[in-house]
Amino acid sequence: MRMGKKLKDLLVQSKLKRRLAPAPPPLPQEDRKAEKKVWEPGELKQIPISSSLEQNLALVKRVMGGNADFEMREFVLGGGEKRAAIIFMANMVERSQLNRQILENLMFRIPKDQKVDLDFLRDRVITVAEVCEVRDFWEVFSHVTEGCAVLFVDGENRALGLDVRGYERRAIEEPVTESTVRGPRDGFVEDVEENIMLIRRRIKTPNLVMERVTVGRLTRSVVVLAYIKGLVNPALVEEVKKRIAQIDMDAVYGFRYVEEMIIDNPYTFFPQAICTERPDRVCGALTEGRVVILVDTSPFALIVPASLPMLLQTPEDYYHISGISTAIRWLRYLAFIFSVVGSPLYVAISNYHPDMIPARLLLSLAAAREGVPVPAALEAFMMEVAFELLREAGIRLPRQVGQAVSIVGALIIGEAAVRAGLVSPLMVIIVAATGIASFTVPSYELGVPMRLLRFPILFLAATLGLFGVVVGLLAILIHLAGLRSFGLPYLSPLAPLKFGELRDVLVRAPFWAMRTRPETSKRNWFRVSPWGRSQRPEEEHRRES
Amino acid sequence: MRFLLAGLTAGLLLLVGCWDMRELEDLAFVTAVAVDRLPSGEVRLVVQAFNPRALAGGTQGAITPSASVPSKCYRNYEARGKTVFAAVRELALKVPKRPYFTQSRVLLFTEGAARRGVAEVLDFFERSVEIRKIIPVFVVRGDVLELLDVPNPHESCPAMRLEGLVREQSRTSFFPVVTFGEFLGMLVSEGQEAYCPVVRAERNPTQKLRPREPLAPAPEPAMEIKVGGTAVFRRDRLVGFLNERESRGLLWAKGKVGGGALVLSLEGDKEVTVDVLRSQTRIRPHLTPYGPKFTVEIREEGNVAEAACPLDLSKLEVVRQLEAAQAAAIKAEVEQALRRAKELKADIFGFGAALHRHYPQEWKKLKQKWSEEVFPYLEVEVKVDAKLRRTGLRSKSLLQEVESRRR
Repeated sequence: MRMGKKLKDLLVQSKLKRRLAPAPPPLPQEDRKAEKKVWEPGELKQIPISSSLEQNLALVKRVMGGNADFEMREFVLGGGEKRAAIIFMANMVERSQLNRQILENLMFRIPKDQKVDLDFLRDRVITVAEVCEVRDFWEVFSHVTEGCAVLFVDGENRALGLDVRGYERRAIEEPVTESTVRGPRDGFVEDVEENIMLIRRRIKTPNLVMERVTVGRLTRSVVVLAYIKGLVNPALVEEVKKRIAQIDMDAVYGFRYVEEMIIDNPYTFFPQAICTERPDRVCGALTEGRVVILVDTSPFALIVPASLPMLLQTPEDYYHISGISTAIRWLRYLAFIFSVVGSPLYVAISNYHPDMIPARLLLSLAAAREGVPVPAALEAFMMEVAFELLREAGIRLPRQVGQAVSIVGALIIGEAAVRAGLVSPLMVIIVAATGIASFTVPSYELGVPMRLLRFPILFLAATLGLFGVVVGLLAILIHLAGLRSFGLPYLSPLAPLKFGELRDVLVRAPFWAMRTRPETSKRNWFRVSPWGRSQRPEEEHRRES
Repeated sequence: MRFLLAGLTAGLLLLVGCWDMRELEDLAFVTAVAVDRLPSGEVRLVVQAFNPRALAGGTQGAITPSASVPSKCYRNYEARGKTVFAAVRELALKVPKRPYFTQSRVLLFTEGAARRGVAEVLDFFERSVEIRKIIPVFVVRGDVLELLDVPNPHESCPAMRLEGLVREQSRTSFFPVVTFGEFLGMLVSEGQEAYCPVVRAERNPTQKLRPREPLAPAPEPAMEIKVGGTAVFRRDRLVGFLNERESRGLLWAKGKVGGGALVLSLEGDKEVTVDVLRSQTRIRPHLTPYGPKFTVEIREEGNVAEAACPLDLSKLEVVRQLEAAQAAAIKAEVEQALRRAKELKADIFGFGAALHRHYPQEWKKLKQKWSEEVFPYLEVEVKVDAKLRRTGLRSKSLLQEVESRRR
């Protein structure tokens, strides 16, 4: 008993000891206060850079002190005794550039007895392309956290921001969600600068404008607006800029954060901006006079305004013979409709209108239904849910396990359920066909709402028959007709009908027949020269403007 | 408020739902309906209902007593009642599911029912929404239960087989195809008596009885379905039948021959067979002081399908000769049919209707005595314009070449 108590005391003591073990040495009074202090951007903006290097560095230390990846290098400028310091985040700069083009030059390449000031350094010594002057501490810290280095020189009440950013990026890879057979294989990456490059590589005109905005109080994510001056409707650009400027949120990690803040109708399943990871698709939209929004750290670009027909087109359409593309496009349209009404139609017709089915088909339908213990509607619902479960499980799992899911799904649902007489083989076929049809919808954003809308329509079909299916489809149609994306009606050019634009909707006309741009572009000059090859596009441009 | 309204409206939709929902497995699909009359005047209804279990395959559910007996995917039910509908409702006591008539393929009358008059039993079928007007009508000679149980491995049930025979009608044109709607139309129209094809079960000539051996193949079925000939009605009562050639005579006059084999007997016991391609007919009434006179103009085209005699079809005069023979053969068929119809005093050709259309005043005068006094003595001229189109892969007949070699 006594022994036990002692042991317990010992244990408690050792635990306490362990918890207290790495006690930091006591800080000086002032520093401890600094550590607790939270520096607000507004406050930092108020503090100008003083001409005393000591004072500047002291402040920097107070703000950044305790950051493991923060580096500060003090040194003496060459050719004199003037002190200077450079600060940066250790993992975000290109070290060799910093060493060779900045430190080396600053220490050794300054002639003796030269009067050194910041302008001289910028103009003659530092061999970095992007340099800017910094006057307050907010700017200092925004540069540093972005990965730039900031150079302080003693006796100067300014500092220099030097762009020596360098961090690991993913290599450009084939787009995973939008692969094509004949199209280019490069897709956007997480780095916005790289993405800008991919677009610039394709459109070589000074009229291609990339405007940079910063969004997000904490993340200060770079959002780039791209459009082609002269092709785009300036009112559209103003509207997009206005909406983006109104975004006030902590963090922006991807395109969806921006998209949800700027779309017209927040309560809808349907995507109102096209998100793509293909630069060629983006460029196509740019030449149609649309605005593209790139968000840093997101490998997807947003295209606005969007319309439903656009969501059903793929870049692949433009890399095939036009006739083939037209046929495939129609196949896709049919699949799009079938993906909503597939299983509901079966339920409605077999439950309410068996007289519509040809006799032989009906007899085999009845034979297939024989012995199934649940009503057709419930059977369809169960199978649809099972299918959605499999799909969802397949997406999240690593590839090796994903295969197991598909095997289990195919075996259990396709084979065992039918053998056990729980579902009819025909229902399996119909649900599978509907599922496949929904996968042929080229836009992932559009495929998902279609699959989800199938459930209410299935319910309507089970309660009201074909009438219910029609009611459901009409409700969707009314909803779609009411949507707008940045002022563009969602069903355009079908409703309101713009006959000329149907050549890229009902068919995929050959390029020489697609002469004019869609009406999204205010300045509607010809895509293909109507005067033949003699007229050069530059001259045409000049005449128009 | 808006949401409340929307919710209530959606609720309204649900309130009206489901009342005519029918699960497929709760329905007994009737594929054939046959109407018979008992001597007492009661209606006897025989329906063929589809049994999906037999088609479902697999081991579960099929009513197969043993492997040697092929399973049947239909069952025939019989019900009686004072009226048709009474009998239909009595069916509910016998059929395990709800009898569902929209998919019936054929409507049958037994000879007895047809002789008693079909109008009183047809009222139900015309009134009911479940019976389609496009299904063919037949008169059954012999036992209807036997007919509806004739096995045929190529079709799921005898009703389907009957439907298949109707589809192939233009191969022979030996019987008319009359849909329920057309039949009703003929029953009520003036100057046109009703007619419909005849069906019966016959012994299957390919069946040979042999001792059961262990490895013997399954025997051929004992019976087969035979459609041929025409049932002729006066008013709504069956009065007699046309045989197959007479049926085709009727169809020539109606312009409904879409094909068939026309055997031409030339002089000297030589036979040439023509494959009829198409035909067109116009019936024209003429008024004469002695009463109306009719011209039946038939235009026909055919190919030579077979020449079992020495014949050189590369010669124009031979072709002309054959065309004349063809016209004569057609004319003979029409006249034979007309003779039979006159005997039965039933104007199934619709001469009265043609007169009604062309000379309504004249028709009004003759209407009352048409079938008794006018039609049986009607003067009808048949003009046939027959054409030979093609002769197949050879022009001279094989027989001719064989004989020329012998010489």
